Amino acid sequence: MAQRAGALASPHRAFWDGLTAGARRAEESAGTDVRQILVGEVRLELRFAGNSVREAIFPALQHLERLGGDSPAVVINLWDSTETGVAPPPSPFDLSDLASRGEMAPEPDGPIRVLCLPDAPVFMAWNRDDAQAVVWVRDSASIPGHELASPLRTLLQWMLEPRGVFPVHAASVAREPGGVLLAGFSGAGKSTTSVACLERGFTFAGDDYVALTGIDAPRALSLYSTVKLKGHALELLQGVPGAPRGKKINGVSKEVLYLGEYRPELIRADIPLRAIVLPSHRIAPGVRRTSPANSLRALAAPSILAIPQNGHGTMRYLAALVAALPSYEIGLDGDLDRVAAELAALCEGPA
Amino acid sequence: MNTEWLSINPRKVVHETIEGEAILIQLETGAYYSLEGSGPDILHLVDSGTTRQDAVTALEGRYGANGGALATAVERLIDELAAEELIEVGVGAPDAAEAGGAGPTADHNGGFKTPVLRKFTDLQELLLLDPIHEIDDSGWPNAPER
Repeated sequence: MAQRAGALASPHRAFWDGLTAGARRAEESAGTDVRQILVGEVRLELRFAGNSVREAIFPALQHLERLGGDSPAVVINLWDSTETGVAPPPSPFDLSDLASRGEMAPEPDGPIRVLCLPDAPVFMAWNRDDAQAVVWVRDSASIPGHELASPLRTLLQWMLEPRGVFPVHAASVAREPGGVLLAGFSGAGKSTTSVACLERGFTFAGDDYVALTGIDAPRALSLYSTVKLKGHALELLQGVPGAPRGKKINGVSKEVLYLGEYRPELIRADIPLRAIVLPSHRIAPGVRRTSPANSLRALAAPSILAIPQNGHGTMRYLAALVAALPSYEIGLDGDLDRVAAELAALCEGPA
Repeated sequence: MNTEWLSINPRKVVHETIEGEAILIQLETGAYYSLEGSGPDILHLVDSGTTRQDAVTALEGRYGANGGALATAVERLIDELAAEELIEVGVGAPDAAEAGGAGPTADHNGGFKTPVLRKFTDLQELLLLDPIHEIDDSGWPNAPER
């Protein structure tokens, strides 16, 4: 990165100014489609220049769309160059500035953070002081598959955490009056368990990422309407009435089903949590209490390591959450009726 | 060596202790850890800023010296934490503003328990996002046309 004299803008600031100017030109060129989504009490406005970026990423978020209401807390401007003809500003960064998980070296003492997905390429920039973000894509057709299934994940973490909403790697299913948080590493059985529950009268907030908020009355908030499935879990899905095949998205090893497109009533935007449950194929069938530390490890490590962040806010929140809710392990042995019944009992447990 | 200051760099490590077990995440390596026994007690002392000698003295004051076994166990854990880059060993006291939050410590009534540090590396691939991809003639970050 170029060194700057004291009175000149930082590379982050210059890049930010260029991106916001580009977003405005893109809107002038291709028109603007404004959508608002609600995550808990946080209203986010997405300003799409043209259609292609919206068509690519909004389906996973559309179930959160809420018209009217208060002014948005955060505004996100999105455009691509292929449709709008508007190029991004020259990047002031080079490869040596790229830290792990795509974040650029942070602006010293500044409000701007920049993330790059070099495959597409995609740039995302967040200005904390302005409560604004810009997402630039060279071509929406080349947005990475994981970004289509779980769009704007890093930006959402940066935006929501200061507002007391914490995106985490977990699933959540509900059966009135409450629900459970399913935590565990990839392959633990969160998606399989979630789909099995959907077949048996549950609703869900997400199978891979949800947001959490509150301690006295903790809640899981839906972020994405997508369900990612493979193998046995994909076969199970056929039992969900009206379920079409999932879509095979490049770069995602599982098929992705957009649940919000055909069964939006199965999605709960907001689930009051009764317990944390760690599914596992490696323990005997049945439900048993486990330590809060096991839940903390299963929630914190994959959530904090997956997204560039300092992690302290999320870690503090999760430590308080696992102290507030009972933690259980549930053995998965293929008897999904039993698993669903055991989870239903936990959902109906004391608030 | 005993007067070297010990601390935790909050930019590298996040941790919390709950019901006597500490969970630590090393943000640069992607490894995460569980620390049990009297390990959280030691971690809490380091998080507040201390030297090896002061940490041993503080814990011997709580649990008794136990013929030097406590000191040996503390030293061993400090070495292990330093090797895993979970704590930093330097000279002089750190900036007070860098000290991390303190967490609840282990139960003292049961006496000193040998610290046990378990390491998990199954999530390290999350940090291995490789920025070195093919680029086109216009340079990074533009990937070549497919």
